[in-house]
Amino acid sequence: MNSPRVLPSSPLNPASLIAAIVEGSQDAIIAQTPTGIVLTWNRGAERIYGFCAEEMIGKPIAGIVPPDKADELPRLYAELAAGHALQSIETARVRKDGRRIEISLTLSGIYDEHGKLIGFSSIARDVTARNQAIADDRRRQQLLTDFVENATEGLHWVGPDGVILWANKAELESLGYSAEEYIGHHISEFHADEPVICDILRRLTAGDKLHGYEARMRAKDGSIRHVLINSSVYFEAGKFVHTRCFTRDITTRKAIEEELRTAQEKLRQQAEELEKEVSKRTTELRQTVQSLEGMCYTMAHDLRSPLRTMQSFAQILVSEYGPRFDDEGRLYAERIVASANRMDQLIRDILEFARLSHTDVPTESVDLNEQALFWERHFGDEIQARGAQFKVQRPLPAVAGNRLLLEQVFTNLIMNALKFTSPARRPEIEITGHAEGGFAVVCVRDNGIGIAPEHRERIFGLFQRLHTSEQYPGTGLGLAIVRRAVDRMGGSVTVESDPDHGSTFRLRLPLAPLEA
Amino acid sequence: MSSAWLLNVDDNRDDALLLRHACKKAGVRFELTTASHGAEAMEMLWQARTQDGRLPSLILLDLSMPVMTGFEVLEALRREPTTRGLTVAVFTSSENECDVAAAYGRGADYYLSKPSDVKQLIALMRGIDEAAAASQDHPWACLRTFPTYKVHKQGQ
Repeated sequence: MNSPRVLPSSPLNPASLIAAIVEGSQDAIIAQTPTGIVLTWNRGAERIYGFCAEEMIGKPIAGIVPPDKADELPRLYAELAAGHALQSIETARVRKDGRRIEISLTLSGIYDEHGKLIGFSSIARDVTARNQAIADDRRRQQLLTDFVENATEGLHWVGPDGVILWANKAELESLGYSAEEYIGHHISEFHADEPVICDILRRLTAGDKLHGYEARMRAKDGSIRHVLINSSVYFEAGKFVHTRCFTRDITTRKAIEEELRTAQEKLRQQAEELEKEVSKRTTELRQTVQSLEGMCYTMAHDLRSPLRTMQSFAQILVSEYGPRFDDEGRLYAERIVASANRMDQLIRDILEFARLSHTDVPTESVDLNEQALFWERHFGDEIQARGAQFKVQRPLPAVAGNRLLLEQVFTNLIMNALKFTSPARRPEIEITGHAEGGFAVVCVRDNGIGIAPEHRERIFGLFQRLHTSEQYPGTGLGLAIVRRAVDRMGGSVTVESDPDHGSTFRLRLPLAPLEA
Repeated sequence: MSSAWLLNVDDNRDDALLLRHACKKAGVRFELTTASHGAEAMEMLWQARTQDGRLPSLILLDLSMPVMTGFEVLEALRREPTTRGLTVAVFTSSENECDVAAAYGRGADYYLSKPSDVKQLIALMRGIDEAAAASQDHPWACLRTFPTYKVHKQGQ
């Protein structure tokens, strides 16, 4: 080996220069005999291998060679002896602490002035960290490559000219093209809607990001695939390099959505038709009921005309010809009059009930205390005749109702209370009232014969009579009228009864609004 | 001057018979004639007017009748100048508000419901008789003030 070349005029001593370089180097610089005994061991070697110079000089260099590389040095020495240059050989050594390190090794021969090989110099650099970094980098790249290539989401790059630069497997498989059929072609060839891909490219070029952009692509088999695109552009120094496009195939989802939409639409149509049908039937039913009620009204009305005639002629018979009859004849004629009168009352009740069903019921604030005066006057004679006790517990609440209907309701209830009296007791009738949750509760209590539990709902029905007309006369419509009237005023009526103590009719009616 | 004349137009023979009975019981002084439907009433009016120029003081007019209904009679009477001024009281068992409105709309002077009680009918006839006797031009106030009948008069 030649000495370092030095400027001839320089005062620099080549030997001291070499010593300075060797000692200052970060690399391990070691001289060894041709048989591998260490001659020099610089500071770099101490740092890299952990052994100090005293520990190594005079010892075989093989001490830091790992067993699996045992034959390496003899082989390298032989190669060098044969005149080969050995630079940057990747190999491994073992440090004093036992840790294996990777090194980059350069070996050179050392010759005497006669050109005889007298030893070797080796320069080694610890490349463990560098190699690890390279390995890590390679691994990361491998993972990334796997990630993009084998992801189940379609990925592709499109260049600034719209040409596809790269696409992953999922994208190709989803559309059915080979890499050659897809990559290198303009992206618009694969879109079903020209304006859509134009818009996508325009937006991306402008630097927009696309999130969940819906588009339709054409697969190789001609079918349309619905896709959801997420994309942005990779710019390098302001220059469009390629798009980062994620393409999710949502064809199945779209089909399901479409099916769902169709089903929903069908359901909606069917519901609509059903609604229409129901509405139509309801209208028809309402018309039928109305016409039946109208017919009932007309019938009842028409029945009154011949009845009136019967009543009148029977009356004439009794009043004009009565004296000429014997007692039996007179009784029969009177029976005709009484029957006709009863029938007249029945028809009046039917008409009243029918009227309640199809006329407007205007409501106003009604003071029941005032009405009570009317009840007392109206029933005064009968109360007296029956020796009854009639008590109204004042004040009664003011209700929102119809004056005439209320009059009818209370007339019917009081009339019933006076009628269905028990022979065992002196009749008592008491009317009480109080406000309760927005409603006025008015009770008509009597101590009459009461109503058996099984009849308590029945008595509010049409033509429901629990007694013969000889026992207790009546049309069987009184309480039906009460219930219908109370219903029409937005209230309700119930009965509580005990055969031993009488009945209490409980009316719930809307309270009159407070005077402003 | 001859006595007052009441023309009762009613197809219901029973009602007509009852009215006649009531008049007898009330001892009325007016003359009572009965027509069994509208056309017969019009015929009677035409004959009476052409023969002796006489017209009824009051017409009691039923509504639902065959041949010619009460409404048609009303229209015919109000169309003819000679009968336009006649006093006509609709006398019916209908209490239908539509009928009441229609009757007044066609020019009825009164709307009376037929009473179901003979005594009331007798009292009505007595009232009419007194009104007729008091004055030929009497406005038949008894029909309006008569307590037991529903007397509907337009605008009241």
